Amino acid sequence: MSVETRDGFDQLIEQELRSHAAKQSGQSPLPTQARYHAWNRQNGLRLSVFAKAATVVLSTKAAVALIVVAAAVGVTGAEEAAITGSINPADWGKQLAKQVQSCATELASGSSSAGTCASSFSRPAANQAPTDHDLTGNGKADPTANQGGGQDESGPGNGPPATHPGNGPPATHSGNGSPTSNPHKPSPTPGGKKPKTHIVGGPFGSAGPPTSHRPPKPQ
Amino acid sequence: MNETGAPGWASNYRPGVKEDFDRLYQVTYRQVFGTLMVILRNPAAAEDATQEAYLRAFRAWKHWKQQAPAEAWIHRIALNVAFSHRRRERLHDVREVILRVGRPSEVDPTDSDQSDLIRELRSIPPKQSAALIYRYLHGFTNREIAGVMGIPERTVASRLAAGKARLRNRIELELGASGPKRVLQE
Repeated sequence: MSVETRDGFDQLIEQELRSHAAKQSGQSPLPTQARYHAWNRQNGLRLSVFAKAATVVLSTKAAVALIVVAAAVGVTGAEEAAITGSINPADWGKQLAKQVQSCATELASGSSSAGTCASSFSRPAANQAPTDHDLTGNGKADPTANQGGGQDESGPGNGPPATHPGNGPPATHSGNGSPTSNPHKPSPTPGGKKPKTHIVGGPFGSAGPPTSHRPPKPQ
Repeated sequence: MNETGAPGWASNYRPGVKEDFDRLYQVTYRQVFGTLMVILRNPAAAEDATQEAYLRAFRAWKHWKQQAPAEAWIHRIALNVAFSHRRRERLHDVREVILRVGRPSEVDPTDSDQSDLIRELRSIPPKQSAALIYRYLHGFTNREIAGVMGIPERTVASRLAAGKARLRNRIELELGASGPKRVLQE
């Protein structure tokens, strides 16, 4: 195998090969003269341009992400401040704990459900509007309020009237049946003519008396 | 010593580091160039193939696995480049033969200063001549040649034996009983 007897022919091959190599080979060239070195310089330059572009794109994305996060935190903080009436985050926690305690007490006495109690704290603004229209006092709109002919297709009195064009005027009005607080809503004609923009709702949706000002029906 | 047993191959190269590749270039250039000088026809072709081999190796340098010696790895790349180069040379030769039918052949000026043995070494299969070059020019063992060529040691031994026998036959045929036969019989 690897151990071989060296004969004259082996020596001849070795001698010829070495003399041939000695004639041809000079010194090793410097790496800076090699082809791969030139390729590396060109390719490295191109890479650095790509790297710079990538850095710019990434930094822009990072800046946008930071702005979005900051805005989200700011909005959340503003909501919390509006709910609790304090800008100090420590107060938010205290108020929440207080509310949970009072909810627990109410729950024990059976006067309220846990969901209602908690949502009255977390979403006071949402609860505010129905309360104005609530004539029964239990947090729900009167289902008989639209009996004058305008049946709301979206459900009986389960949202602020201002969001429903055909469901009567908003909460504040002048008392003569014409809404004044909604600037987008076309002013009804004195003769009670229904504007064309009103698709659903009866006469109360345009010129009729607001539902919140109708006297409660006798039970 | 590394796993191939080559005394000069105990280097600690790091894949992807250009300074280490520069070092590998300086250490191995002469061996690689010397090998390709015998396999290929002329110094320009050998130089071109050597540079091409180092360029290929450099592109793959970050993927080089440290289990195999970097020197053996670069030799193997250089051999592949040289074999491809030689295939192109042969195609070119065939084309030249067809083109010059009926006309005397042109003498390659680089052939004149080369011995008969070197010329005959180029005429045997390149894998056999490569094994002979590593053995007789660089003094590699069968194990080292196996590492360079990526073949088992037994295959190295058979290639060496076959290459040597073929070379001996060709020299005897070409030169007759006069000159080299005396050397061959010593």
